[in-house]
Amino acid sequence: MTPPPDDLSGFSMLDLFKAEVETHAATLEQGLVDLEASPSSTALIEPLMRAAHSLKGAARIVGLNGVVGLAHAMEELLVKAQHGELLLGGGAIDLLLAGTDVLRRTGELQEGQTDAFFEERKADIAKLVGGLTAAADGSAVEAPPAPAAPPAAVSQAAAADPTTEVEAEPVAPKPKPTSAPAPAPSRAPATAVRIDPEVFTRMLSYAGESVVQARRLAEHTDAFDAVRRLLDRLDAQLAATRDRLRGEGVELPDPDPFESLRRETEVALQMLQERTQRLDESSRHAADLAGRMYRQVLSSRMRPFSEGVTNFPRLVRDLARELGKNVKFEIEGRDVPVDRDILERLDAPLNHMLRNACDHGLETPAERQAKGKFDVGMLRLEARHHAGMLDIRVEDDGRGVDLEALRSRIVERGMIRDDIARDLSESEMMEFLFLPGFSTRKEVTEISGRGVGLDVVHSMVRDAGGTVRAERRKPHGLRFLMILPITRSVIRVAVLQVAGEPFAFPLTHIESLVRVEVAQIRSIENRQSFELGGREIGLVPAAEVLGLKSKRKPTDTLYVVIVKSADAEYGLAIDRYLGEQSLVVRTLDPRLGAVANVSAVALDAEGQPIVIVDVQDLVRSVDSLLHDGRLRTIRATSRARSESRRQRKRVLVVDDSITVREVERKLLAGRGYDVDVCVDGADAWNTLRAQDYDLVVTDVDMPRMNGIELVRRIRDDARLRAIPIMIVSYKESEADRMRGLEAGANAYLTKSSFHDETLVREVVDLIGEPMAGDDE
Amino acid sequence: MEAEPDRKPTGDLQAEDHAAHLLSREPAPAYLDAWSRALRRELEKDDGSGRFGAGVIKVGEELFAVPTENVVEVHPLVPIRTLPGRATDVFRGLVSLRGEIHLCVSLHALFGLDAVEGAEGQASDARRLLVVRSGGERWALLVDAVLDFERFDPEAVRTSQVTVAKSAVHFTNGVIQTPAGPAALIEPRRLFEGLSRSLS
Repeated sequence: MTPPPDDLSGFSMLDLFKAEVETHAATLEQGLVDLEASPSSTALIEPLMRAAHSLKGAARIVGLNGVVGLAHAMEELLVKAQHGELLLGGGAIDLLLAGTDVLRRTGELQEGQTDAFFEERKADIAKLVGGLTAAADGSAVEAPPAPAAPPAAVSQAAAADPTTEVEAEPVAPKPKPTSAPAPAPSRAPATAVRIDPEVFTRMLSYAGESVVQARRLAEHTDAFDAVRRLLDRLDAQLAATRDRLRGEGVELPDPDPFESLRRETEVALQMLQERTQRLDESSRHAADLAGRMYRQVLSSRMRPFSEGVTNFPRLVRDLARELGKNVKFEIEGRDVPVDRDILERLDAPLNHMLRNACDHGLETPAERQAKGKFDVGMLRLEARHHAGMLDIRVEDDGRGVDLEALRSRIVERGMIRDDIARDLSESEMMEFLFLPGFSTRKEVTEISGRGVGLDVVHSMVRDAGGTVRAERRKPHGLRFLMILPITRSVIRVAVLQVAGEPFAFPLTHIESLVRVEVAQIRSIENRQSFELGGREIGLVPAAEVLGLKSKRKPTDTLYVVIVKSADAEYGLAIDRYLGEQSLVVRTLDPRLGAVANVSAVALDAEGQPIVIVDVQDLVRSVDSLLHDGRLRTIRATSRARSESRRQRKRVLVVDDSITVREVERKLLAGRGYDVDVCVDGADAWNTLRAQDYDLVVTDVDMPRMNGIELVRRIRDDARLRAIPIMIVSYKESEADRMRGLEAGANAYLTKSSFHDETLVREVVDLIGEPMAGDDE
Repeated sequence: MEAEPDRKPTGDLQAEDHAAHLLSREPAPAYLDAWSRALRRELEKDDGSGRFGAGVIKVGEELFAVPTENVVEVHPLVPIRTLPGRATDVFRGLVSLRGEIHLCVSLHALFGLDAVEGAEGQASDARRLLVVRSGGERWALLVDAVLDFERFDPEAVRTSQVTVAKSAVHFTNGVIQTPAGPAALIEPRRLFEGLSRSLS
C-alpha cells in the first residue's frame, strides 16, 4: 500500500536526500550562472552558500561521506567570495558547477549503488575538491576534471577544453560589492505538493464524473417541472369538469367533491413546487461546486514556465564557453502558467533551438565586432499567453538567414523550380527550413549555418498540438515563434458518429464538415471523389479506415469531414455530426500500447468513454490504404495478398522522408520484392503486428517512435523477434552503427548505399531472392 | 421513482400498488454500493477459520469463483465503446465506471464458452461488469451473472479439471463446490496474463 502523503516512513533516507538534492542543485546551478554574469553581486552568493551547506549536512546524515568533503569545499569557496575575499571567475564557476553535477548525480543513486559510484569517481572528486580548495586559497587552479555526470555532452567537452581559462582572482582592496546592481535573485518556487500520477488521474476522473452527475440533477428538475404542469392541467380539468356538470344542471353533492380534489391537487402542487425549488438550488450548488473542483483539479496541472526552463541558462552558458562566444541569455515570462505536459514536450525543441542559436546563429565576439555589433550576443526565450494560446519565442541577434542562399539551396535540392522559387515570399521560404531532410548540419551551414534538425522541432511542436515558424529579426538575427495550446488537458472536438458509435475529432485538425449528395460523387478507377471549392477530394468511408463495421444504411446524402495533412486532403464519410464539445483528454491505458489512429480517450457529456481520433495518423492510414489498394474491397485484397505472399518476399520500409521511402521502395520493388511503406516507427509497429513481413528496413531518426526503439520492440516481441532488420540512416559514425546493431539490427547501412547496388545486395544477403525458392 | 421516507402516501387508492412494487423495485445504486462494500469487508476479514471469500460468477453456462480480495466492485452493464482496430472477441472496448475508464473484456472467448443467449437488452439482464484487480492492474470483466459471495475452505479446493472447459483450465486453480454447483477457482495472475496477451 502506498503510504499517505504526510507519512514519510515509506521513503528511504536516500529518497529524502534525492528530493533535497533536486532543490539545492537547481538553486546552485541557476545561481552560479547568474553570478557569472555579475560576479560582484555578493547578494547572489548567500543562497548558494546555504545550498552547499545544506547538501553537506544532508550527505553526512545519509552517510554519503564521499561528497561531504566536496560540498564543504564548495561552501568554503562561496564563503570567501561572499566575504569579498575573492571574485569568482569563469574557472571557479566551472568547478562549482562540476561539483553541483557530482552532487546531483549522487542524488540519483539507488540504494546499493553508492559504494561503486564513489569508488569509480574517487579520483575525480578528490581532484575537484583540490581545485575548489586551491581556488578558495586564491591560487590559480587547473581545469576541473571531466564531470562525473555531464548534463550534456558539451559540458564534458567544455571541461576538457584546455583553452578554458580558470582563475579565481584574489582581491586586494575590498570592493564595495553592494553598490553593484544585482539582478533579481531567482525567487523561491511556490511550494508544490508531489502527487502520484495515478492518484491525480483518479481525482480528475472523479471530478469530471461529478460534473456529469451534477448536470443530471438538473434533468430531474426539468422532470419535476413537467409533473407540475401535469398537475396544473389536472386542476384546470377538474374546474372545467365541475363547471360543465353545473352547466348541464347536475346536482353536485355537498361538500363539493371537486373542491376537495382541487385542494388535494393544490397541496400536491405546492409540495412539488417547494421540492423542485430546493432540488433546483441543490443541483445548481452541486454543479457549481463540481465545476469549481473540476477546474481546480485541471489547473493543478499548470506549472510556471520557469519550471521547464531551469536547465537552459546552464546549457547556454556551457555552450557559449565551449564555442568561445559571449552570450547574454534572457528568459521572460517565468511565471506564465503552462500545462505540465506541454512543458515537458517543450524541453527537447527548445533545447534544440537554443543549441542552434549558440552554435550557428550567434557569432564569435571577433566576427560580431567586424560587423559592428556589440560583442555580446543576445539570446532570448520568452513565454506569454496570447489569444488563448501559449506563445513562445526564441530569438537571437546573430547572423540570421541569408534568403538568397536559402533560395538557391531550395532550387539546387530540386524542391521547387527556379522561376517559382523567385516568387516565393520570405515566410514561404522560411517554411522550407522545417522540411524533413532539408537541413542537415553540413548542408545548412553552407547557406546560413542554420537548421540542424528543425524538422524534428517541427514535428515535436506539432505533436504537442502547436505550430512553429521562423522569421528574420530586424536588424539582425532570427526569431522562432511557437504557438501551442495552453493546456493539452482540454480540447475542442467535433463529435462524429462512425459505424454507430461517437468519435471525437479535434477541431484543430478538421478542415470542414460538408454534406455531399450521392449524385455528386465521381468514381475513377474504383476510387471515389467529389468536388469541393474547385478541388477534387478523395472520398473514403471513415468506418473502413478505422476498421469498424459500418451499420449505415445507404442514403442520398453523405456527411463528410474534410481532413488534411501536409500533402493530402481527404473526405471521410461519417454517419452524422453529433455536435461540438470540450473534452478532458486522458491518456490511453498503457497496456494497450500505441493504437493506430487514436490519440487519447475522454468522457463525453453522458460520462461514457469516447475515443479521440489522431487525425494526422488517420490521414496516413488513408494514404497507405490507398497506396496498397486495400481500401476498395478488403476481402479481395486479403486473398490477393496471401497468394502473393506464397511467392514473393515482403519488405516493410520505414522512413519519415517521403523521398527516401520512395527510393527504397522503388529499388526493392524493382528487384521484385513486395514492398510496403510506413512513415514512422509507430506506424510500422502497428503494421507489423497486423501483417507478416520477411524484412524490415528502417530509418533511425523519426517522429513518434524512432528506429532504435522500433528495433528493440521487434526484438522483444515473441512473434516478431526473428524478422531480419536493416537500418538505413544518414548517421555514419561508428557509435551510431554500434547503437543500431546493439539494439538488434542485422545490418546497418548509410543512405549513400542508394547510389550503388549496396542496399539491394544487402537485402538479398539477408533474406535471399524475392521469389522463395529462387535462391535455394 | 424512489420513495421518500418523510412523505406519507396521499391516497389509499394506490397503496396496494405501492406495496406490490415495493419489493420488486430496483435498489438504489448507493444502497447497492454500501452493501457491496459492507459484504466485501465482511468477506475479506479473516474469520480465523482460514477460509477465504470468493465471488461466484457465471460465464456462459459455467460457474467460476473469483477470490474476494481481487474483486473491486460489481457494476450493472454500461455502454461499451469500441477502440478502433483493437476490438477482439476478448477485448470488447472501454467502459466508464464512476468516471474511471476501464478495459472491458469478455471471458467467453478467452475461456472458449458461448455467451448466454437472449439476455441482450432484456430487463432481466443478469449480466454484470465485475471489476477485478491484482498488483495494481484492473480489468472490467463482462460476465453473465454474479451469483453470490461465499466463504470456502481451502482444503475443499479439489484439483479436478473434469468440469472445467479446456481453454479455461489455464486460468484456474482447482474446483470448489458452491450451492449452485461446482465452480472453477480463477487464478487472477494467470487470468491477467491471458488478458494482457489478448490485447496485442
